[in-house]
Amino acid sequence: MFFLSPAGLWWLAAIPLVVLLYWLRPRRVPVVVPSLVLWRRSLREEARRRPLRRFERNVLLLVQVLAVAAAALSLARPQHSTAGAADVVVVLDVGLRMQATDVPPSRFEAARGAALTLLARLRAVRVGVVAAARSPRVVQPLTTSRSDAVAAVRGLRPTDGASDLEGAVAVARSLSPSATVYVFSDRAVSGVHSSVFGGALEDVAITGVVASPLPGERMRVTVTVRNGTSLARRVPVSVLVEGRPAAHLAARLHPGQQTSVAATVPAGLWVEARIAPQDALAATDRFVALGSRLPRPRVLMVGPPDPFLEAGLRAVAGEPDRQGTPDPRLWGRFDVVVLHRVQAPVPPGNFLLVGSVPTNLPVRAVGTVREDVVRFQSRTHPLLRFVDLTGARVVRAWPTRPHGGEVLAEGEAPLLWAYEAGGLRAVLLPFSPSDSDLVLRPDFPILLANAVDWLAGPTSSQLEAGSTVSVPAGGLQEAVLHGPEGSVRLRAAAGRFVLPPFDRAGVYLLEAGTARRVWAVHPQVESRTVASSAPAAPAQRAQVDWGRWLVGLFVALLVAEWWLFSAQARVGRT
Amino acid sequence: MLLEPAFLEKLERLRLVARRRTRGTVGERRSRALGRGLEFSDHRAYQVGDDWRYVDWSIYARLDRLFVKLFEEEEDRDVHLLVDASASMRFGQPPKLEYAKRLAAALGYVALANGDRVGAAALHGSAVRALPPRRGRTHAHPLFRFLEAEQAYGLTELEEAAKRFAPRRRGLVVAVGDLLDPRGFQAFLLRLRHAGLEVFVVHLLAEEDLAPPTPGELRVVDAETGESLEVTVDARMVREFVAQRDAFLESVRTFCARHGMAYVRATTALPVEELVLRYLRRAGLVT
Repeated sequence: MFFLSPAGLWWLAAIPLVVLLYWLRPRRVPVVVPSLVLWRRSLREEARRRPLRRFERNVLLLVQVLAVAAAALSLARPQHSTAGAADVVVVLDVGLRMQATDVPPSRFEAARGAALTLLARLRAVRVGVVAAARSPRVVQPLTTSRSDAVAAVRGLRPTDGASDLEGAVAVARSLSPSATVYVFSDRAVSGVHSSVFGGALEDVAITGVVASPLPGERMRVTVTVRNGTSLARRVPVSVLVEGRPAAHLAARLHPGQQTSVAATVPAGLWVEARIAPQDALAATDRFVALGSRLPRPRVLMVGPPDPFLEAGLRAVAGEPDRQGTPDPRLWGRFDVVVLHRVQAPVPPGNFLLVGSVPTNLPVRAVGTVREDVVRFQSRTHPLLRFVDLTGARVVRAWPTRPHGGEVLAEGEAPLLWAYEAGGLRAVLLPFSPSDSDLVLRPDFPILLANAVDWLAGPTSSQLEAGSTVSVPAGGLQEAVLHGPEGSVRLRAAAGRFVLPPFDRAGVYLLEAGTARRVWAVHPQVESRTVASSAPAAPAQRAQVDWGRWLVGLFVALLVAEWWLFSAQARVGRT
Repeated sequence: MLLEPAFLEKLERLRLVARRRTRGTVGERRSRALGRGLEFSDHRAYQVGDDWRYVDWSIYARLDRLFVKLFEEEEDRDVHLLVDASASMRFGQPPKLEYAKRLAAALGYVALANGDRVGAAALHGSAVRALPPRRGRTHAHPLFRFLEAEQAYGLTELEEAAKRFAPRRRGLVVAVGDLLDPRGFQAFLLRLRHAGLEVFVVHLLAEEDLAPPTPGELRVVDAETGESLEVTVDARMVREFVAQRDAFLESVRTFCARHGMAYVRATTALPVEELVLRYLRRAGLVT
């Protein structure tokens, strides 16, 4: 037996108070009577008929004492382990709302304190820790080392993102299906032991910032503010472009209202809006969004020039760099390398192969095909989004025989092939654009844009806090990620840079070679209502929560006390 | 002044009635002693030794047998007024003792007016303060003074008091009290009866003796002994108290009836005049 909230036992100190009040109740009224003859007879007869009557007065005191004890014990949340040894997984909510300071010092700190208390008292053999972030993650697999579990909990920090409690519980259960799961959050999860810290939250928040480009290197910034409090508010809004103040606005909001204010500001890579409503949740007072001046992917074209190909690439990614003689050492600096009629092995990187069949890919050319027509194409691959190649004619192509990857379009021979493995992404068009009527169709630039996007990944994105991102490494082994909490050096793994979760709102800039990628990460502002108390959870096999039984006992004792009191009062009136 | 002149005037017209024939000196009371009285009572066959003067010769002439006439002899008698003067008699509005004193004075006055010898005794626990029986209206004043001087104190120990109350002559005893004796009232009344007295019980109670207790947490204190009981008075307790009260009153009534004692129950709310002139007359104590 142990207590999740041992501080609740302090309420046991109320028991002496109840007894004291009982003794301090009005004394008996003295009444002088001529004789006790009739009184003695009445009492004797009453005692004969109701032998327990002498105890009835004390029953009320006993019930009151028991009720206070039950309430104190239920507040202490006693737990009992029915199995001698059980796995326990602690799920700690690290969502944005846990930063609220309505529970001092904050909901997160209070929840973490309770989790540490639990860990200190658990008799479980193995303990695991799961962080309930936007993407739940195991921060400590099941371990018998209590210190490791404690260190894992101590190492957690609240994020600016949402929290997926149900997903976190599922992750916890995946660690051990029979484990007892304890959730520490600002809301309850059914089916597990939930400790709730905080209730409904009154918060004024920025829920959105959108930047729209305007002519003349300017942009229109629209800021949306929501008043989640019960009072009308006038909220000053500051707009910053790349960290420099650009505009000051004000939003007038009724309780529960959401409104937008807009300003025209100079163009920039990113824009930020700030408010200072002095509420319990400061993390929602700042919102970062991408501006109108966004980086484009850097494209290198290698091989003989092709006007159609160059025009298409120019429309998609700006003016491409050119390399007449293939030099693979420089290819890793670019987001995408276009090999036009270059028959050479390719290093790890992102390649658009046009009329090129590298020898180190699981595909080889088998002669030449004349007059082929695209008859079938993939309808699901992102390369062919909004693209219809059916009926496109090719007058000359190199038929290929792939041993991996995915054929996305084909006639008599494969005409579009995609491959991804070992840090290498490739899109193969086994014909020259000038040998096909594809260049005359509107699908061609869209196909190129899809290919560049798929190969290089987006160079800029607006993300919610807590998102996780990985980007193709190309031929690079290292990159540097600059974020709101400093810079991190990343190493490529399996041809990709796996970025740490964007837990904090702000601007993230990845520098890999000459390529730059930027992410504007904004806090995850939720509108859900937080339950103020935990619903009843079904009993778990290994751990029994006595708290709810004690709450039931407390209620039953209150009813009994009320019944006894009213019965005595009723007797007194008759 | 125990009795008002107007009440005394009404009492002049009353007389105490004996339900049993008593033996006393010549007076205004009929006795079973035959021969010397003036009022014819009965005939019986002549026996040797009978006074020839009482032979009814007219019967002898008709039946040729000797019968003697029997006359009721008029004799005086003792009337004993026993007043419980224990501390419990302090209760009531007016106090039971004051009421008992007025009642005893009224009955004593009636008896004196009718030529009876009237004595009085106040019972304070086992102690008895007594006024010996005397005849004549002149004795009314000492009787009133004796009664007026009585105060309520002491315990209720009726049997012990009865032991100390030893009348030399038989007669009528009027016992006035609440009979709330922890050891019981029965022995007290039986002792009076075994002393050859005709017992008339006036069971005097105050309204607060009869009223059910007020519900609540009470500490009831005995006015005589100072003992106390802690009692939680609820509806059940009230019902039980009322049942015990009624049982007690009924036990007194049935006991008196079983042992040939006249019994009247009165509360201090009833005026003494009404008790004497209506209820005691109805009970046969006065006519």
